[in-house]
Amino acid sequence: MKMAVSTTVNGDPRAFLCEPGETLLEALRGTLGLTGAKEGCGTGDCGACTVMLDGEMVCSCLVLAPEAEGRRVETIEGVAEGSDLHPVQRQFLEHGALQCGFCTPGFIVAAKALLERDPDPSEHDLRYWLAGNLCRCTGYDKIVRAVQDAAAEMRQQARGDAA
Amino acid sequence: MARVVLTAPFDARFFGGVGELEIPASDLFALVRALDLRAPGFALAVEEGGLLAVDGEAAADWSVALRDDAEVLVVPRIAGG
Amino acid sequence: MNAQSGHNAYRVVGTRPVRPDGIDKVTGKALYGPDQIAPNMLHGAVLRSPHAHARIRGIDTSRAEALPGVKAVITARDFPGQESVTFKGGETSGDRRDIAHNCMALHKVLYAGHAVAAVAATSEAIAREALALIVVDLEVLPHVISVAEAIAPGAPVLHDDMFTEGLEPKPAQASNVSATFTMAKGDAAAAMARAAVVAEGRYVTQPVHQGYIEPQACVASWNSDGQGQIWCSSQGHFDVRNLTAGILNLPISSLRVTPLEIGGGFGGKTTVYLEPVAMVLSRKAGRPVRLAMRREEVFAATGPAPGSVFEVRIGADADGRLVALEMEFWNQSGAYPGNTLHGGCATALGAYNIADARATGWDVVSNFADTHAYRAPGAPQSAFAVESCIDEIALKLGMDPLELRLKNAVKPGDPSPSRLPHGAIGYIECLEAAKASPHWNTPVAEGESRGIAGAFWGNYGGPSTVAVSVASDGSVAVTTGSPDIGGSRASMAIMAAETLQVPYESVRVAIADTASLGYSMVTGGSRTTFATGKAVVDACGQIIDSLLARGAQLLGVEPGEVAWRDGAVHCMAAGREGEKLDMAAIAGRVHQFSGPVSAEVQLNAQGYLPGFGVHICDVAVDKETGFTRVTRYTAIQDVGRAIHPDYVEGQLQGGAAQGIGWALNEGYVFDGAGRVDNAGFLDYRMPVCSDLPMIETIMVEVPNPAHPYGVKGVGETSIVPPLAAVGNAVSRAVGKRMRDLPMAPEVVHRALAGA
Ligand code: FES
Ligand code: FES
Repeated sequence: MKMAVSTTVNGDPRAFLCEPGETLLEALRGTLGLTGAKEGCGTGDCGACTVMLDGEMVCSCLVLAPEAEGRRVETIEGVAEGSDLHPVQRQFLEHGALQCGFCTPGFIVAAKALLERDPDPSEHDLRYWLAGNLCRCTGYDKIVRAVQDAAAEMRQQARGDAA
Repeated sequence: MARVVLTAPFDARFFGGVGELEIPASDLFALVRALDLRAPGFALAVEEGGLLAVDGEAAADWSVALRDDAEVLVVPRIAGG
Repeated sequence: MNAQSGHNAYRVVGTRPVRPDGIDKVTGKALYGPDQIAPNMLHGAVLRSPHAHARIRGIDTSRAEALPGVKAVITARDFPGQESVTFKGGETSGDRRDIAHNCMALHKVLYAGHAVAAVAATSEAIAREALALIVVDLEVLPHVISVAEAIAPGAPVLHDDMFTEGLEPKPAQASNVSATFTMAKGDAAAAMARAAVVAEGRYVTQPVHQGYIEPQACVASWNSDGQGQIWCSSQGHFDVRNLTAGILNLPISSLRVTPLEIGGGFGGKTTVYLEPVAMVLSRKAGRPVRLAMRREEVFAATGPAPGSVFEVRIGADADGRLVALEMEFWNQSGAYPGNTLHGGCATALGAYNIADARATGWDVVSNFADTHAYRAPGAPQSAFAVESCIDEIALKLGMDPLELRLKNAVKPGDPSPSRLPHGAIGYIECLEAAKASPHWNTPVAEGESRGIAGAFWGNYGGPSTVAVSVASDGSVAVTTGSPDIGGSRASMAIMAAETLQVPYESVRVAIADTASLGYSMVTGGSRTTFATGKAVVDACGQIIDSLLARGAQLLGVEPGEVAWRDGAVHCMAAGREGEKLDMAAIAGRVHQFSGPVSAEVQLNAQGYLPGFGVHICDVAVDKETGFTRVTRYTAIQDVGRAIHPDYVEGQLQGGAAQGIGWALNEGYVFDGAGRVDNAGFLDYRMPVCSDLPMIETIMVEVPNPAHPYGVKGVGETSIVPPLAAVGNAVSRAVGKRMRDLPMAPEVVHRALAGA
């Protein structure tokens, strides 16, 4: 019947009950009330549901909720530090890199994950990293530019921190 | 007398393809009423999917008085996605 | 950022401030259709036909009703007056009977995916379990998918009361041809006979889906006193209200629709699918009901754009002057009549001066989902045929394809397809901008080829209602009824701030529910920044008038002795120059005047002008695999005036990307039983980030005199040229005219092998 799951979501310990077959996306959007991750397909093809699980990028529609047991989940709701936007979020706004915005949470989580492992991706690498996220509105141009500028901003910040 | 220029599909569907008609009318409501008397169903069709243009300008308000020598064009209205 | 910015004449128009809904959307706070919940809400699910065409003999819902947790099961019989919903006019035109029957099949199912029953239960899992317990007795009928099948003699007929409209006399027999429409001028056949060169061909496109990432979803609540509420995302919640109330025989004002953020529409969210169903479930269960589509339901049951077959001939004289156009086309609409005939004809005749032309379209219904607008309805398919022929003529005459277009392009004063003379259009300016563009002036790279195509799209204006009010501290609230799909709240705030001469941040924009403001038509037809924007500017003008009158009284001067500058009333009376009252000083004093400072404007905006664009596309075609990669792309468009350039560029880029997908990859594939075989994003392959280059944009600004800031609609035109721009590039690469979409690798490979 229902399973009890204890996990960490955006740094906070959370416990919830779920059906064994429930997806992590359903648990996040339903029981946990975190509707920032979106369901565009439910089959792993659009990336709108992208979250981080123990530091790895996953499609939460393909992860079962019980798999979150004892692990760290990070969602779009945890990307900003309080009211301070992450550079990727800020650059999305500066560039108008969203139209409807439905794909945006997935793109931001994915882009942040990329920049954490590669602070200076080429346009080619950036486009292939984001190829699992569908956007139907923008043609990706402004998204790519926003992520490039966020990368530059983060590199500069890192240099500043190091100095 | 307003000169009414009818285009497809209204012309063939309601007026047998005459192309043009001379109709006395004080405004577009009166004009459409007069045309509907000749061809019942025209008023509904033009309300549903027609656009009236007076002297080359699409008419937003059918209650504006028509000049005596006005040319009224009846064309389909389309709005997209 | 890749376009010129700023107009000296304006302070805010043409700048790129952050959109007011931005932070909500980058932090996951924004609420979209599927995010809405209501207390004590039930979850619904819809049972859909597995067959493409069948007669409903009976539906047994008893076992589903008996399942614990199930609170309501409905079929079309539970809809009030489903038999007799009639064609009605009013604000929202369209055949409500068709829309009602599309929401829930009554006598027949017309496509695989057509709703036949629905369940509301305490969980979605239980609702889906209950669906499996419903027994539908269907008599399967033969089905038709392609135009050829649908118009073949003896073809199974979808609607036995459908007689081709536009034929005189009315046909004696029902058929699958819903309507025909012709636009003609001069004598096309005679002119064609005199042409020095002729390009002709048969161009075929498949149905394609708008592909918005947000599936349809809604929550509805309908009480026993007849009052109802719906929360949903759509391109027009007033039309959702009108259609749903019409289908349910409900007084329109008894239904209140609250708009949620919309996750893309592109024309596909201008109708209702789930809302009436959720309402009836709610009425029966006595609780709010949520319905949401899964992606495969979106593909199978919501309206794609029609496929098409075009037979076209274009003739030119030896100097490259286009002299004749003959076109006949068949739109492969879905289960109910489409609305793309006029758009197809107008686009064929709209961009070039061709003295003798004739375009005839036939709308053909067939057994897949009811088709809908996809940006500019009917235009991309038409422009694909016409602009490909023009490319062929250029090749035959050895002419530069851009010069050929320049030679024939329409100018202000030339007759438009509706026979009204064209107003302040900017096609020539677009072509000149293309000619001067970095892209056009860069030689085509080794192993690549280049295509170019133009476009015409009519655009629209129409009714909008807007309210503007000044709070007692002088800040401004703008309320519209136009859903914001791509940043229009920012544009409204910019236009209000410009008019009032106040900072952008002091204007906030909200979108009202249907009980809070008068009617506004859908966000569609590229109309919102033009029509709703005009209403915002007009309302701000009234606000200024009111503040000036009040300011003069407070200053104790004559009405003529005040002026509006920098968001304040300035005293111009002799000796008192320099005295002024800001908005807070006036607006706060509601108790001494006739009331608060606010204005409401209703209009039916005319004076919209068509959009023109030119797209340039470079491709690299892999000669071994037939795979086509777009290596460079530029979209040029006359936008009138870009209010917020980021979101105008975004419309150009988004339309281009969709058109590239349409040209190279996308298309419905049906199996032998008439089911959509690729009803998911894995198999219905839309462009992803790694498929595309940067999409360069050039915004040409030929202002529209009918709009205070010169706006022309921009949302639809951008999808019109890409099919031919890509097609012309691939054709030149392959050395053979590509006339079938999509130009998937296997198609291009075959063409290369046969060339
Ligand atoms: S919803 Fe998970 S990938 Fe689309
Ligand atoms: S902004 Fe709409 S899908 Fe990306």
